[in-house]
Amino acid sequence: MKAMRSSYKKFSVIILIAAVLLPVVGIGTAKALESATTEQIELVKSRCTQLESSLNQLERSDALLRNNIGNSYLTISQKLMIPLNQRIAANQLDGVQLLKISAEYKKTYDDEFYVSYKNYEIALSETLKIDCRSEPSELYDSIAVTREERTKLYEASQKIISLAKEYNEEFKNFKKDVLKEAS
Amino acid sequence: MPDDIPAVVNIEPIATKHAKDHKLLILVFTSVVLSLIMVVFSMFLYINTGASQLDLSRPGYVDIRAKSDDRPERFEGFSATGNLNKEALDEFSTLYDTKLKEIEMVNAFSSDALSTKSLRIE
Repeated sequence: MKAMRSSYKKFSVIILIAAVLLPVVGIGTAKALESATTEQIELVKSRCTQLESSLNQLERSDALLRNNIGNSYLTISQKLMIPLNQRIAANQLDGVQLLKISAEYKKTYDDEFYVSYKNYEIALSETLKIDCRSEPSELYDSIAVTREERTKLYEASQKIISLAKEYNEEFKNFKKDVLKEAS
Repeated sequence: MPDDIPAVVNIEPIATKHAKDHKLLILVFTSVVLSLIMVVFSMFLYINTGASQLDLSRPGYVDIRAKSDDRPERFEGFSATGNLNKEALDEFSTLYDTKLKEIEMVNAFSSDALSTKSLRIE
């Protein structure tokens, strides 16, 4: 009986905490995706053709950008970082830090940049399917979702650049040490 | 031995007999079903791995593919073999700096492009 009372108390506390936290989480979500005002809906309707054209153009230019910048990101990993790491290992030098950064760089490319672009492209395609004349509010909301996905993609891209810079800094230290030992 | 009893009794199951009679039909049917399964599986991989998003041979992306092909000369990269002397380290520095500048120059996927201001729906 005592055990039952104790578990009932625990359950009540959990429910109470959930009741307090739920509106906070709700407000956060609502803030992230504010729905469109009447003026904004009217704007979407009036600028429908230009909006569709802008989004279409964006999708196409992003496809090219993704292809080119993605190749550059991969080239840095596959044709510079990995060969240098292999050469360091073959020469029996200490390149643990460089190895760590290059692993993190590759992981960021695969798990964040690649996935973020996929999600962003899906969100943008879904946005382009919406008819802005009959569903302006849905289009506005969908643009907001796509913008969030694009922000994630931008962050992943910035992280890759930051890791590439970090690798460069670490390489400069490594180079200094190697040349010091050699002289 | 009475005349009405056959000398050899055919105990082959009816299903096996049917299969033998329609060998070609079964072969064609199985091939079609197998190829359908493989197509569905390939499409599943194509869509779910994100390859479809990177495919510039999709309809409407032909001109983009042409632009993408206009890339500068092939980048050979750094050799994975050899000594790590001053020349090799300098060579790596030069190659790496070039590529680093290339990616730093592009402010890729800035969220401004989808802002309500740039889309003029503020």
